[in-house]
Amino acid sequence: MSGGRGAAVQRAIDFLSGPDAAKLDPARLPAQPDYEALVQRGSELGYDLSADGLRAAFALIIRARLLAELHTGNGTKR
Amino acid sequence: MNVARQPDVDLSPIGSLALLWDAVPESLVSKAARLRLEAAAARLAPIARIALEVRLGEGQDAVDLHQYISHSAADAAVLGRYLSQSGPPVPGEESARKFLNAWAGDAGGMRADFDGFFLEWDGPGTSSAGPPAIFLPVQARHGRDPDGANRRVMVARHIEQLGSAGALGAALLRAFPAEYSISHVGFMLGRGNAVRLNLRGIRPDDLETVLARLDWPGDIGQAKDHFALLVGLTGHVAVALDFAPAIQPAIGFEAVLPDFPAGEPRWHELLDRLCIDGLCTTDKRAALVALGARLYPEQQGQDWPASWIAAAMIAPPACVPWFERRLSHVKVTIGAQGDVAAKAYVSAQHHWYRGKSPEPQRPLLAPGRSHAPPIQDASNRAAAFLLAQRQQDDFWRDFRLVNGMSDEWVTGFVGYALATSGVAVPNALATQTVQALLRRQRPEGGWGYNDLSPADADSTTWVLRFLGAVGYAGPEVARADAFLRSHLRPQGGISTYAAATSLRFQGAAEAPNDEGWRSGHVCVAANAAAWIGEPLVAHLLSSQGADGEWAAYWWRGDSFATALAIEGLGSSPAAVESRARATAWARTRAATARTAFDRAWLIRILAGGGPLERDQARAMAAALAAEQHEDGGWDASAEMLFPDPAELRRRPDAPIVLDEARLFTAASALLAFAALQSCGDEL
Repeated sequence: MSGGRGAAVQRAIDFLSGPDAAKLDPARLPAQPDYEALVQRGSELGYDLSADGLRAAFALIIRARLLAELHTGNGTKR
Repeated sequence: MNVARQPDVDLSPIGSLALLWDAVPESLVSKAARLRLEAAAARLAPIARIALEVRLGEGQDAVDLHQYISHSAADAAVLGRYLSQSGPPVPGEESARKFLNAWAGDAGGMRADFDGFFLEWDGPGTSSAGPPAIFLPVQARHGRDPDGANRRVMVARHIEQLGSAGALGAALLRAFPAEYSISHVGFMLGRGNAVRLNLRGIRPDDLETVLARLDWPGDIGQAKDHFALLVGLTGHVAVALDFAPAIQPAIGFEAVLPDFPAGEPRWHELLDRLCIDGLCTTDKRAALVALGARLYPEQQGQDWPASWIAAAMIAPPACVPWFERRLSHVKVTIGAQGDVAAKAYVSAQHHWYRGKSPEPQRPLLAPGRSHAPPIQDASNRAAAFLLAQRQQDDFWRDFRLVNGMSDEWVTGFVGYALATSGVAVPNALATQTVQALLRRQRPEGGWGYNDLSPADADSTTWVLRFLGAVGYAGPEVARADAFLRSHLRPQGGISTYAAATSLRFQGAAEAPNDEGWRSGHVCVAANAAAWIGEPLVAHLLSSQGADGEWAAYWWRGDSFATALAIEGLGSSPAAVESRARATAWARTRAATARTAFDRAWLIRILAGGGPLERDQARAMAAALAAEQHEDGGWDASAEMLFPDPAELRRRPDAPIVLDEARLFTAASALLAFAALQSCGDEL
């Protein structure tokens, strides 16, 4: 792995929010929390990832969606 | 659940189990049971809405698995793919497969006729589970007689698609006495095609009649005792009866409470009772109380299932997933031999949206459905809505504070609204409501927000006004009157809580300063003046605001307090000018009042004015009627405040608590329509 944590998170964001995310097949991944399996799947698709980077990237993507939802006036349950 | 926007992606139900296990100790679900459940979940359609049915007694390890499938196009697509990959059904599962195929293909338009259905596997094993039971919703809570009958016929038509397995259920739905509301019908395909009917809304006093009429072969006395206990603890208990094809001696009572135990004290009372009766172990009780949570993947410490992350990335960007695990309801069963057991239902569901309104939009009233004048029709529907919302212990419940939902105060208010509305209500309603309230009267004579809360002047006033409206004049009234008058303040006005009242909720420490809650409150004086008269009339005359309003302490707006004050002033000649100023204030507020609740009380003020004001009240009432939903209610809009106990004055930033059950708003609308009627309007 190269770069610091920020770079690892950015690579994970690129993976999860890029076109290769469409190749993520839920049926090929564990139904339990298992970031190493996602790392492996990313590796198969040519990405250099870490479990921590993926965890942080997923949280950031969801936060961004939540903000977008708030801005469209849909409110929030929380 | 916003099913219209559900994304068509697979979500493994094993993920729901993974996020449930963190909060479930082995005392509730053993390791062996977990393995069985995970194996069973892996065989389900990839829809992550499941529930576990756990036994609460000592050493009872069997766990049943449930799955909910909605009528969304996405669920149908997921189900269709799953079925196409599942191979032929194993012997015994043909009927279930037939139904699932019919659902996925929307045979006969069935998905338009049901919100969804439940599948239930009894104690599924590691390698097989046998055919599931299928539970379908039948009658809506607010379904009126013709609607309820039509629903039964429609459901019967659909379930005949199950073939021979559906025949008994269809026959029961067509023949079952019309006065009972069937909430669900279940087809227990693994139990010799037995059929279960869940009945809602039965009062404890009526259970014996219901069971005798159905020739139920069990011990009615035993059933009555358990049922009455559960209704007393929760107010909401369905009766589950089995037919195979004759009615069976086993019976079940499903007790439902809203919210997590942390927000609903009655969960604790219910589980405590089950422990005392030896139906639940203390370990399991503790686990059930603690497991409720909403999980959000962006929060620290949340590890989302890997396949769910993939699903979220495939789903449209508007999807913002979250997960909820919760204690859903508790069931007490009496077996054929009289053996009693308890089970809890723990749901574990993935959701895609965090919109403010997770429930489907309530349809507005379709125009032209009634020949009655619009406001009279709205009034009738509002009353029907309130009657349908009454719980089986004869209380209405609304609002939610740290000490749970209000029943005594809300029942006094709703009962008063119905009793004075002029709308015909069942003959027994007044007597039943009086008896329910009298059972709750405190030794000191008053009533409170609920039975966990101290008695207060406002709740006691509403109960007294209700008792007066229905003509009850027993000795309890004098005791309550004395309690209420003990809240009169020497300096004028009346306090919500008396100096001697202990303001302690749920065992929490008393607030260091509760001067605000014990001070004089004009909104309470406005209400109590209608019962007490002087000295509160004089106090109201001296406390009117400069613009003509009376400023509430417990409410965000002043319409309610002002309307009550005008009524409290009565016909005193000294009040003529005061009433005129209040009416003028109401006229200025009418155009800008935000909520249905505020507008209802402005209508009540204006209805007592001159011809111009009554015209305005009529126009506002027509608009209010047009906002009524199909079920007879309005959006929740009664904005009660929950101020810090130390606050002497209303603050604009005080927390607002809405009437989440929509009863207070509906009762207010009913009172508004009644005010127009009482001033001679042809509604």
